[in-house]
Parts: sequence; C-alpha cells; structure tokens
Amino acid sequence: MRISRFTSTVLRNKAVALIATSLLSVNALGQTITGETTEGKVTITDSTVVVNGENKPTKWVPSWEEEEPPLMFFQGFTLSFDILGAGMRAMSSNGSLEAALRLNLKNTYFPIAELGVANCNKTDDNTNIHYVTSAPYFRIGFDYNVLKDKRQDNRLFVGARYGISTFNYDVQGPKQIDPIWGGEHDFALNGINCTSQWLEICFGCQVKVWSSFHMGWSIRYKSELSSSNSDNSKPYYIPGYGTTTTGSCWGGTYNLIFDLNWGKKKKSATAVQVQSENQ
Amino acid sequence: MKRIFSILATAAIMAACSSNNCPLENFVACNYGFYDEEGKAVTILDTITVKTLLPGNKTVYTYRKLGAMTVTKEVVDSSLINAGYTMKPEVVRRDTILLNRLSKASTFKLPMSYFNGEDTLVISYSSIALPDTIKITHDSYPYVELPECGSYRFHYITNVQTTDRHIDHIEISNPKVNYDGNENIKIYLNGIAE
Repeated sequence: MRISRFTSTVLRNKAVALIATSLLSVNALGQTITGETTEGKVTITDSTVVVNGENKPTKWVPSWEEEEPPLMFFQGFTLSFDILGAGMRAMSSNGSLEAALRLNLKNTYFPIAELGVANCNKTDDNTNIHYVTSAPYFRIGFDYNVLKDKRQDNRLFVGARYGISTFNYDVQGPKQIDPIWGGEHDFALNGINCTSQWLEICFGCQVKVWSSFHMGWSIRYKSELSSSNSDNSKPYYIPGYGTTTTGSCWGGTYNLIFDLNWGKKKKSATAVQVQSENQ
Repeated sequence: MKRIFSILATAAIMAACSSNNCPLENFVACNYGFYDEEGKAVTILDTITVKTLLPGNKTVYTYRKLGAMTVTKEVVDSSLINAGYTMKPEVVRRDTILLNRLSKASTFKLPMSYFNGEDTLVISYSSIALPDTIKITHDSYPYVELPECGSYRFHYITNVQTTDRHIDHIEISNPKVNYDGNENIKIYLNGIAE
C-alpha cells in the first residue's frame, strides 16, 4: 500500500496515525521503523533515516508531509458593497446602491448574486426632456479566480452575469406643437412599465487590506438582451444596466469586500506532531 | 501586466468617446407609392399638387370682370374694384399646400396631423381638371426614443377613402407611420402600365 496525496487535513491526521500503527512495522526492541511512502521504502532508526537505500538527514520529512493539503471545497461567503455606484448616486443624475453575496468554492469558483436599487433623474439640456426611474435589479453569475496561487488572499477575476430588472419610468417634455394643422398638447408619459434583461462580462480584482477586509474593482461589458418596449418609448436608463443609447455599454464597480468564513476550518496540526503524540 | 494596462487604456479611450445616437432620418411622414390597376409600381408623368384642409374657415374674395380673368384673393383688393371688377366674398375651409408640382415620381411622403383624427388630402393633376380627395383616419401618439433626440408624433392609420377620378383604389400597406421610411399607403391609378 502506498501513501499518496491526502484529501484533507482530517484525512491526513488519520493516515499518519495509520502509518504509526499499521503500515510501519516496529520491531520488538523499538529501534527500527520501516514503511513505504511516495518517496519509496523508508527505514528509520535511532540515528538514521534511509530512503530507498539512501541516507537522509535525521530531520528529513517524507514528501507527503511537505505537500500542502488540498483546499476545502467550501471556503465561506463574501459580502461586498459597491461604493462607486453610491458615489455616482450622490453626485450625478444616476447611480445605485448595490450589495453582493458571493460563495467561495476552493478559492477558485465564486457563484455570486448581486442585488441593488438604481435611479436616474436626468433632463437633457437641448431637448428639455426629463427621464425618471428608480427600481431594484438583480444579477446572478460567477467569477473565476485566474491566479495560479489559489491560496493567497488576493484574487484576479473573470466572470459573467445575467441581470434583470422590472421597473416603471416617466418621461416628460415640452408641449408638442403641430406646425401645419395647428394645436398643441402636453408631452408626459408616466408609469411606463418595462422588463429588461442583459448579460455582462466582468474583469476585476480584489486585494486584502486587513484581516477579512478586502477592496477591489471590476469593469464590465454589458449587452442588452431584451426590453419590453411600449408604443410610446424605449427605456433610456435600465436600473443595473445603465443608459441604452446603444445595444451595449461599459460599467464598473469599486467594492468593499468582507470575507465571512463561516464553516471554513482552521489549519490542523501537522502530521509530525500527530505522529509524536501517537508515539 | 503591460497587456492588461493597454487593454484598460483602450477601453477608457473608447468609453471617453461619445456620439449622438439619434436617427439621421427623423422626419415622421406617411409614405405613398403609385401603382397601376394591376399592382405594378409606376412613375407618374403627370404633375401633381397636394393640398390638405386645415381646421377652421377663411373668407375668399372672387373678383370677376367681363372679358378678364377671374381673380381670387384672401384679402379685399380695392384697386380691382376701382378697375371695374365685381367682388364676391365666400367662406371656405382653410387649406395649405403640402406638395407642390411633383412630377415623374413613383413615391412621395407627407406629414400627418398631430391632433386631428382625420386628414383630408386634395390631389390636383395637371392633365385632369378635377382633383381627387383622399381621407385618412388615424390615431396619433407621442414617442420618445432617447431624451437627447427629442419627442416625435407617430401615427397609426385605421382607414383610408378616396374619390375615383384618376385613382382606381387605395389601400393601407403599413398602418404604422414613423420615421422608418416604410411605405404606408398604396395608390392604384387608373390604367395599366405598358
């Protein structure tokens, strides 16, 4: 029987105990221990360690001890808040308040749900047409950590989102005047209902600032899938998507990120320590 | 890293560019096409003028004198009265010319009224004394695509009627009148094109 990679720290501890009790044969005097590891046949005496007939330093540790245990599948949750949208909401005609809950699977895959409320209150300087909307939106998708070292706290993401928003909007403007037949009429379209769907492709990063607190940003390319247009207008601004002047647009977020490591276990004792305890 | 920076810089430059996304062809008009009796698209050789009746009336003064041409004016002309003309005032519907002396055309486009449910068009021909009259019943509604493009008035044609002096019949090909430029009404003229 050979010892290969361990699937978790718990399994590793069990395996070390197994080596100590069954795989390694200890003679009656307790002077020599032999067994098999991934390095080959190991013989340990009071003063020497021999691996496949080669003397090793007495503090040599088999490779199974040097290998880091694989990451657990579930690494916890991440809660984040977008401060870019909040800043735009405070300083411009449109913006959003957005929070996201992200699952951390092996520090590699991050299923994510984003929920927010966005508003637009814009008057065009040239036409005096006023557009108002305020509504919630929802996105769901995933991020993938492209960094090779998945154990570090900094992450570089690519990802995708599907977004949807159902909202009402108002459009008001100057009176419409018939230049030929004459007459004029107020121009006001109120409470137009619309449902829009879109896709996003994301690129972003996050870095550890302190303990479980991270900061990060993302840029997003958004493509509108569909919008339920009324006979009277098209939505100028879709909450969560942005302005609809073309069929696609760019967006971004700047996030405050908090790791909520619920269910993530701390590092276990090393194999050597367990072995010494067993002895 | 250099590659990522160049991609981000390109994206930022693209995002910094802005353009007006309003439609270039934004004249809301009803598009008419001429066809012969059998439905073949034709080009008219006649010269046509299209007037439309406006809401309200006006007074027209007709001046006549034996041996002289009849003169019609919308104001009183005392010089004609002094010259021996007799004046006859008459109250008629107001009108305006929408299309003046169009010739050798296979299509034409005309605006529609914003707030009237029915437009009356009077088509005069150079080769025929009596005009044709077309009545178009329609609904109108406001439309805005982007705030920066302003508002428009679109129409939906519900019915068309015509007299039959030079026109055989008329039909709606597309009831939605907007700035897309699609043909809305087919005018079938008397006769068959060779």
